[in-house]
Amino acid sequence: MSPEYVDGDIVLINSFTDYYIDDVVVLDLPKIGYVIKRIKGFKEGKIILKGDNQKLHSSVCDQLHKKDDIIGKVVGLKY
Amino acid sequence: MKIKEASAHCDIPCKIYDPIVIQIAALTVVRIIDIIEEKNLDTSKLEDSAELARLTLEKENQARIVKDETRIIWGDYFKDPQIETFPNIHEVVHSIMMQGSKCKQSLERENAEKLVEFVNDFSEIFWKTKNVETSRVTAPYPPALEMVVPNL
Repeated sequence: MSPEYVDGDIVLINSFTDYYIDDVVVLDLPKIGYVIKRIKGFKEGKIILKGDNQKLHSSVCDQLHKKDDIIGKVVGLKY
Repeated sequence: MKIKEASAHCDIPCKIYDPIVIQIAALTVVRIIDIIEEKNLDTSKLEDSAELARLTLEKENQARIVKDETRIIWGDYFKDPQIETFPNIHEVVHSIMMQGSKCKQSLERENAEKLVEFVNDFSEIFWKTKNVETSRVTAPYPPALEMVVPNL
């Protein structure tokens, strides 16, 4: 998620009813745990994720995720 | 206060995809079938039986590489934009899967030649998605069949 988010950053999240494209969210994914990604889009009632760092690839960006997996949107950042 | 850790979950840097691995494996399947034919092995002899077993094993291994590597590019590289532009990619990949299995099951050169053709079709589509022109040239090594190369 660099350059905006790098290792060691502390983010403050808040839960919302609705999330929008380009929101940075933290998800709790089965078998993976907490993941921070940006919302790329929505499809079939599910969400598609993307990472900010285009030089890296994440397999979680290749699949659709339930909105319920989102635990919150990043609303604050402490370096 | 306990702060939970979230990862960005990035795999290793990738985007290095090239169908040349598939092409070489497909050509190798043809080459091994040719070698089996050329050697005219006598399977009543233990040594020849062992060589036939070794060649057959490698033929199946190369056919498996064709299938595995095709699946990786199709599954990891092809995404909605590429699939929307080349909707026949699924059919081409499926043809490679079916033909790869036929090559594992038989010693028919025709089957392996067909596999090379399907792989060439796949390679052309792959390079088109990258806006790279391609040429069909004769492979500079046995079995000297036609192969697709990018005009880089």
